[in-house]
Amino acid sequence: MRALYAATLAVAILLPAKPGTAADLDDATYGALNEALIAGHLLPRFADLAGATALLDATAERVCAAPDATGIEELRTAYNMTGDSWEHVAHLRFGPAELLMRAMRFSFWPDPKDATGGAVLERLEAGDPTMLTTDAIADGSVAAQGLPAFERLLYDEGADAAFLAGDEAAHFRCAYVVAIAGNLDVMAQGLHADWGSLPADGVESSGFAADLMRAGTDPDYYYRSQKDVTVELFKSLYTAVERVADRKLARPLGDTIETAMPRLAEAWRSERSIANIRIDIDNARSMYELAGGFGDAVAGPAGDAELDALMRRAFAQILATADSIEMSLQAAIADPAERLKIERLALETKALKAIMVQRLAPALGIPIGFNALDGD
Amino acid sequence: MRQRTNILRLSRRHFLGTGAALFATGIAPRAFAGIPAVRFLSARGGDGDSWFATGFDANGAIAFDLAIEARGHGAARDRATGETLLFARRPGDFALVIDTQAGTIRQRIDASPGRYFNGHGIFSADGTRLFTTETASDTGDGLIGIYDATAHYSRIGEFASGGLDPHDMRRLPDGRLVVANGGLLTDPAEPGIKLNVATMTSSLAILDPRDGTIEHSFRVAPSLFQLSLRHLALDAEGGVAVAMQYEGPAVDHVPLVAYLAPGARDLVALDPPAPVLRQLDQYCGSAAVDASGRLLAVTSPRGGIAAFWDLPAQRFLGTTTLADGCGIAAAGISGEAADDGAGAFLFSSGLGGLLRCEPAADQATILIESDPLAPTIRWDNHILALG
Repeated sequence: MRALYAATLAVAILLPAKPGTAADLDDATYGALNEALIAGHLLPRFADLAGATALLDATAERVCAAPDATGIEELRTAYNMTGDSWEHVAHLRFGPAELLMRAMRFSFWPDPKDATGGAVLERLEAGDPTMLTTDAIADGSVAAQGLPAFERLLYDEGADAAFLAGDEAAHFRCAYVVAIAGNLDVMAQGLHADWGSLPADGVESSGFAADLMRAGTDPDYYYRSQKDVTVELFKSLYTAVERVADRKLARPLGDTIETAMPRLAEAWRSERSIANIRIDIDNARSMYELAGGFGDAVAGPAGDAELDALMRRAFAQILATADSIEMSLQAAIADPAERLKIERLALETKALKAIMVQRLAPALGIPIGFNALDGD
Repeated sequence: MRQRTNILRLSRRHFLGTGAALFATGIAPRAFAGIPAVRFLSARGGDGDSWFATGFDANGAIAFDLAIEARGHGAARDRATGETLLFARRPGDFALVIDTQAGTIRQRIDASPGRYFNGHGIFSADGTRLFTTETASDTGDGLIGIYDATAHYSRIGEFASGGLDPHDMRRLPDGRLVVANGGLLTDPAEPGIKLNVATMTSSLAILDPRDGTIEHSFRVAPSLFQLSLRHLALDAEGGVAVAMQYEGPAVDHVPLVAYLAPGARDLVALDPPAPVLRQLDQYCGSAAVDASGRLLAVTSPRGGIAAFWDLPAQRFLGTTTLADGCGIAAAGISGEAADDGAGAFLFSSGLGGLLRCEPAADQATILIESDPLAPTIRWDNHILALG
């Protein structure tokens, strides 16, 4: 049944889109969509991230005061919570995430030249505490200060022994963990604060969220209209799917099972690849299916119920495919049976990407072409 | 169909006596009935993952449409012989020698082992050498590849481009090469992912094509280190216009178009008014100079606009709109603007449209309407004018 669905989804992009008219929605419609997404999708996620990194920071401080095996596991749990929370905002790369290169510093990936490995090793070998100050971390290599570096320290082969050796190197390794946790927390608190809040009953609001809602009233503001803001949010929706289709699946899959490259999977050491992919797809689904989100705009003001049904079916199908995978990504791509599911996931996300560019964008009146999305 | 432009009316005097003599030879070849006379070459996408090298006439009618294995990018032409190449988009595995008269692919040039094409190249003045911008896969070093155009494009050497990620390259009137080193570190395994945005440095290098000596290297100011110099256009005097992209925050106010006047010691920013700079959206797609050698056009597919400058005067002229507009070519001199000695431009859109614009006459004509709902022809960046 699922295979049949996959075929349907793939066919949907091979057929020319149904003739229709590009939507011409008014700015109030875009404004309502933006407000629903900012209030229901963006702000809660950045609040969650700030909570997760605060816990990570506190856990790292506490565990590294007296490292033991239980403590290392607690660190791994806190790392995974931050990893989940980060992945929930990884598609929201504009505004505060762009400032101070936060998105790149928080999680530098893909990293085909293994800059992370080099940067982490350089610090471990130097053992120089001045490399671990807040400024030295934040202003240093982007590869040395984010989640992937943290993952190396926690999951590299022999990590437990290295933490528990009780020597100078063990102390330094844990101090490096504390430094990264602190750096991640500073960025997450900054993101949360910079986004701010939306105006509520009689409460003064400030920050990027409130600024976005004022777009269209101030001719000097970067976003000149609410439609400009919707275009930005559409790019986030697209990014969530695009990263899965083009980056997270195609590369490790390779052309055949013999040429699969398991180590090109994201966060394979902590076996987070599939979890992250599920979150990415769910991010896109949330932006689409949230009350007042893109889906309601498509079915309502844009008047394309058929496209809305196709989009909802696509999300359900892709998440079902992702949920059916019973191994880590690096194991699944090398397993003849599980690999088929990964291949199907790759096909389905690619099809969804095409539907978003070829049908969803025009239905919402968003002028977006392949030069704008993927130029050179 | 006409569309509105937003171009300052140029005074006639502004152009008189500048370029009229150049146009005597610019007579368009007359088409045989029914067969579009090929005037332009561009890469394009079709349905799904299909890619083409497409020749078309002055009205956008397709003369030939060659299926190619991957997405194309820029093209090079030896004006004396008409020898023409189309390059694969970076990281490119191939360049194609295209017979634009017959509408056929004559030769496939493979990227050298451990090297990939970055999508642009240029012939030497005498047409015997082809220079291409390339990157070494392992180190990311920027290179200029040298090919013998008289011996089936055998690769006869290379030299350093003077920076990472050499992209567009032009030949100055004195034969030297000018190269935009985009400054980005990428990996052929992860096309499109920029690995050094936090530490990048872009430059404009001027090289001696005989031995690769880097005679000048113009670097962007450290405060603007996230600017990437990408596309170039030369004016009649050998001045170099540079179209840039910015990898930093969207709200930063940075120059996106620059100009190196002939003999000048440094680049100057050609800043348009603030609202237009905002519309360029930190991303210039292409640059071209008109047939008079004076007018510069720069596109922003993200902003959906093209902007115009008078280069010798370093003066901003105005804009016109084209959603996902990216490719530009000089489109001869005709129509109202010809009286002023100013040329026309052809613009292409990823949504299928073609637009002809005569900025000096404040006119833009839609040759082919874009189809944002289902573009079956998706024009890729860059149009080569064959005339």
